[in-house]
Amino acid sequence: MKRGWWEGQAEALGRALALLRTAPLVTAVVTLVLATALALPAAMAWLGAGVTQWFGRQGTEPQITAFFRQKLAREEALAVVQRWREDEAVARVVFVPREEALARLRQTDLGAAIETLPDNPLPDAMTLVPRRHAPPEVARLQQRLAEETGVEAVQVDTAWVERVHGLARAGTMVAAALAAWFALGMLAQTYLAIRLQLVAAAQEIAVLRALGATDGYIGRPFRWLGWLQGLFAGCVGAALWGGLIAWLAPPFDELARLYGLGGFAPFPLWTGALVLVAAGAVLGALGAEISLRQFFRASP
Amino acid sequence: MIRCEKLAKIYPGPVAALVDLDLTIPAGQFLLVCGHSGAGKTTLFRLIAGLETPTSGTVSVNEHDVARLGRGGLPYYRRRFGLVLADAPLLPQRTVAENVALPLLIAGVPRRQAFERVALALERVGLAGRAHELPPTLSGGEQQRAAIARAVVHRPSVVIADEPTAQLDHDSAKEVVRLLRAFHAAGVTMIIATHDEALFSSVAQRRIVLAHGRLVEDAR
Repeated sequence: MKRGWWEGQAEALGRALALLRTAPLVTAVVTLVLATALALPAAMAWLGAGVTQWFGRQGTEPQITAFFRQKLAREEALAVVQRWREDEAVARVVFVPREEALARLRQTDLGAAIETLPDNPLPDAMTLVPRRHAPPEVARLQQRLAEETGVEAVQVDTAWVERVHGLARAGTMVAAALAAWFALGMLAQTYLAIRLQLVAAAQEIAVLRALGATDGYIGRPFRWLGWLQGLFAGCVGAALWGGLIAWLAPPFDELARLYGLGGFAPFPLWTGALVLVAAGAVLGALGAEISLRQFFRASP
Repeated sequence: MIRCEKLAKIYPGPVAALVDLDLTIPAGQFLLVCGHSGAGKTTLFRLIAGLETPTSGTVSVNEHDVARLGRGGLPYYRRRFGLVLADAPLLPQRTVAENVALPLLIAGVPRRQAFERVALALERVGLAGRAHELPPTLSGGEQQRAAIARAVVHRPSVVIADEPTAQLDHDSAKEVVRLLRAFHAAGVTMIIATHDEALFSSVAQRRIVLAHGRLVEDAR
């Protein structure tokens, strides 16, 4: 009678735990190194996400201003405003009457110069906030507004929008590059740890081979070992990250409140912790697999 | 039946461990392989057991060429053998019972069933009381008997033993021979390398002598 898959896996898991217990100090150090490799980019991602969120709250949403023709009747201008309020590409529309625009201008440095003019030179205007902030979407809206009847000119600070988007893109890329870099580091570390275990178990492996063990049988405990090391590292990494965030969060939160930006909580702690544990386990298993394949290829 | 044809193994150096060896071992034979150290006995055993690949020539079992088995088939081929070889020692960090159970667990026998068979094998070699001890705590003779238990526990068709009585006192050596004779009587092919031919004279059916990797004597 053949034994079941579960029994084989349980036996291999037992061997993996025994391997971890044989050198507890090495296990602890490897776990700590892997945990740091996981926690650092996670902390960077948390900070990056928080700062990006700040930008989002700091009025970085693009505004398009459409100036109506001087001679356009107020009713016609208001009809255009109403039509744009119903447009699904637009989040908000504010009508700025020429009198209000003049009043605002008087409060600026140009106030004295304005007083010398016989009439109000400013037209009625409306400001629009697009629903989607991506530069191509904003440009499309700008084009449609320019073609609108009664609109004389359209002005949009696309440079600012592109700057913000560029910053966000760069931040995301830096976080992704860091995560990839550290993931690679973790893979290399797991590869090395499993490789050392394989070298230490060379005699046992030779005996198992002589007795008819397949590569699958020989590798099973080491696959578990990689997975377990990654999992432990993920748990420790999550704890480290949680501690770091708990320490960093209050000053950032206070800073955010001082600027009237609400709090500083880019994503929930438990989400990050779960991602770290899962990433640790997956990277650990992957590192072990690469190490095993290379070992078996080198020792046929 | 095991057949070696023009079998040669040359190690880097170059060192010719085995040169154009032709040998046929019928099933159920008790074969004694003699020769000085370095004569090529261990190399021959490793080639027959599929632990090494020949430089040239073939090893075939029941007309199947071992070289054609490939990486996937070799482990299953090796399970036909019971090995008492210096490079397949008992694992010092596993108990005697765990060591003896290895061929069964590798073959996929359920754990409980495997350890029932281990208990029987250990009883047969007189080590029932030492099952849960680690090999380094056993005497040389006990370790050799444990290795024999591991070699036969999965009921192989061939047992290959390299100097199974070396470094044993006379009584322990006679006990090992008695065990090997008992397994041979059960139909197992025995291929034994020894320097002590007299010890096996009553049981061996054939004796070959190797010298410098060549077969120089074949007596039945």
